[in-house]
Amino acid sequence: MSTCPFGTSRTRRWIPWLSIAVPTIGWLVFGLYPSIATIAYSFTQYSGLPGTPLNFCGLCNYRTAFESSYTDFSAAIVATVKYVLGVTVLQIGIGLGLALLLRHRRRGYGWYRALVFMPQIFSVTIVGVLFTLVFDPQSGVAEKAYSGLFGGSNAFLGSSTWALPIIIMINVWMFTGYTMLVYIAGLRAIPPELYEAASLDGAGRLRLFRSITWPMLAPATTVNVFLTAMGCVGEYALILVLTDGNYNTKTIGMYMFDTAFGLNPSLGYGSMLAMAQFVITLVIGGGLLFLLRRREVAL
Amino acid sequence: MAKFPHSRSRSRRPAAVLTAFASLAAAITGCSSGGGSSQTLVIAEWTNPAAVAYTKTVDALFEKQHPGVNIQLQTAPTAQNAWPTLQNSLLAAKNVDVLAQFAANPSDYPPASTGIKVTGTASLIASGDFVDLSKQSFMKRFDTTSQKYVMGYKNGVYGVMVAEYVNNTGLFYKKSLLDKYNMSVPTTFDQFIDDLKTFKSHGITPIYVAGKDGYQSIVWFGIVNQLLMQDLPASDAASVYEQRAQAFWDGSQNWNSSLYQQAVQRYEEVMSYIEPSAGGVSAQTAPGQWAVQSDDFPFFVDGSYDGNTIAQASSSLKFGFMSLPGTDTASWNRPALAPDLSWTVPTFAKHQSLALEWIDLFTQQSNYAGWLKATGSVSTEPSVSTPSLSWTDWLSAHAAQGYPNTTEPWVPSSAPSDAGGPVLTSMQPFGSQSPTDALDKSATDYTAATKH
Repeated sequence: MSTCPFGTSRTRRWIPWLSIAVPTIGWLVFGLYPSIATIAYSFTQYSGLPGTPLNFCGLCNYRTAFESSYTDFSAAIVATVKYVLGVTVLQIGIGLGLALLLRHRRRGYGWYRALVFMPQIFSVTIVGVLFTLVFDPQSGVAEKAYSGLFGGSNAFLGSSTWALPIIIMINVWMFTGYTMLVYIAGLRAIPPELYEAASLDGAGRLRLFRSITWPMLAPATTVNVFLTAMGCVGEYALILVLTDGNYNTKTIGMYMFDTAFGLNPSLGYGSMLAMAQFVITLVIGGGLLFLLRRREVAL
Repeated sequence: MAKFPHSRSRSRRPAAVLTAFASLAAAITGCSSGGGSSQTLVIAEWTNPAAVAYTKTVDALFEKQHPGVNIQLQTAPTAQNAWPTLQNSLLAAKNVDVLAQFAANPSDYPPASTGIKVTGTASLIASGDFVDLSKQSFMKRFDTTSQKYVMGYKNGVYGVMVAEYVNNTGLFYKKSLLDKYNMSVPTTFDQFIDDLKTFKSHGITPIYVAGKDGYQSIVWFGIVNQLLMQDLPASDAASVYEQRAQAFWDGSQNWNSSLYQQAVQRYEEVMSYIEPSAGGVSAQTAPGQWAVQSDDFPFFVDGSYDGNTIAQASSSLKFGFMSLPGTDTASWNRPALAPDLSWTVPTFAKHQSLALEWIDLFTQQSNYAGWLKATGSVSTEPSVSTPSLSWTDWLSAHAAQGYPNTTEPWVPSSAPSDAGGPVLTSMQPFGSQSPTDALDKSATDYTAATKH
């Protein structure tokens, strides 16, 4: 007699199919269909407003984006690259530093780890409102600190120079806790015997880090770099609530959202931008995975 | 033996689950399954606190007059694209009976020869998504020409414009500060600059503006409007704008033309008197912040739609509203009127006749007068005068001289932002781009976008 972990003999025939069917239907409706629709829309001049015509135009949106004078697209690519690089480098650096500080199982360390991780659970809207108040040039805390330290005033989120770096810092503040936790898990998996042996050979702290900790953290670094960079390529929500894409902060994700779903939407052109974003994600993600995995193997 | 021999108790279980689910879904969506004659009229408008509050008053009156009718008012702020998202959801679900729209205008329908596809409200009208209201009795309350100008398409009128504000050219001023330095409301650009200089010499920052959300455009478009319209009658506005659009299209005019050189130079002069960190000031907090700082910022660049918000933020503040004097000829410095909220009835509306009755009630003289008082809008019903509020003395006297706001030249929707004019957040003093470079870039991008 065959064993059945769940259900009766009558139900066991269709329950596995049902189990597969539910996520499959979900994927078809919410994954595959929108993806195919996005590809199709990218060849149209569809406004996106229900009931309006599709206006098929072939490659017109692609041609438009790659014409040299169309600087909105190239500016969005530049902003995206700056954003991805800035967040990834800072988040990995700060996350690793915090992990090295807080990895020990000592009294009170758990509280600090929770404190660093806490911003991750806040919604983007809450963070947006919070930092809009912090960086308000009339009454914000940042303005008072800035004028106290340097004199004068700063427009912060309304400054072409400062807006993007501030958003990068806010993003890092929100998600460094996650990076730190992945690194702590990686650090705790390093056999202590390696450190003991190296210390007996006279290795100092820096040498221990360079020759043992950093190489042994390669898998954790792969996960952290990949997830951080991929999360940043499509980022728009934080930018939307903080600057609405003004002041050199219009990344490709923000540009796509604004074009496809703005007040005078152009879903056709927005879909082309979504396709471009997909290609950028593929190139950056694929490149990173290739380099980081090769590094892991080499180590 | 049957393949699926369901017992009686088992067959009931799914039915009970379905019933419970249906009840829950009905409760969540607010649908009433019982009650027989009960009908839900869905109305949607963007969040303007005063407008939403007054719409609720009309809704309550309508419900009282129509027992069994329940009104569901859906709102979302225009910021961060929340309103377009709500609007698109309602249109896609075909679940709205009265829908607010930002008024369209003739330049939203470029000639077919341009190859530009219509977008926004105009595309919904052109696609036949809205009911033609031209034959409705309530339309007789309005000026046919102005309603046709904004919501007309071919031979129909597809919405009724009930709100109009002064946006471009809009400028609030603090009466106490003007009085303190013996100034009257400036009527020419030179007088305005002299006042700004005087304030600056007394250590007062002359102008406040929500630069984070691009409200400096009010100054730019205000000056452009006044230079374009000069003292031509309001009825000429449509042809002025069409001639300009045609001139841009055929290349006989561009963003480097003398009118725009002059406008950008004046814009930069005004901007040299703004609060230095205005780029970080958001539109949401700006009216309140300006209101509470009674001894600084004598002028505030903003549309008249924020007048009541300012009054609520500081009841003791004596302030007024005027048209920014962007030229040296006083008679040219008239307010440019921005067509705003227009009620439409989608062709798929489930309760079309009720929707039309609701608009009829809304536009009745007494109700419409209440709406104007609540929102500070300029009246679009000739029989109802623009109300006199504490801050509308200048507006009440000059609104009749206003003309419809200028519109952009014909620009393809996927064109870079510069093609529609300089991007003010990138241009000095908010960005690093010089005014000359900004105009050059706009001219180049417009040419590239239109492929001429």
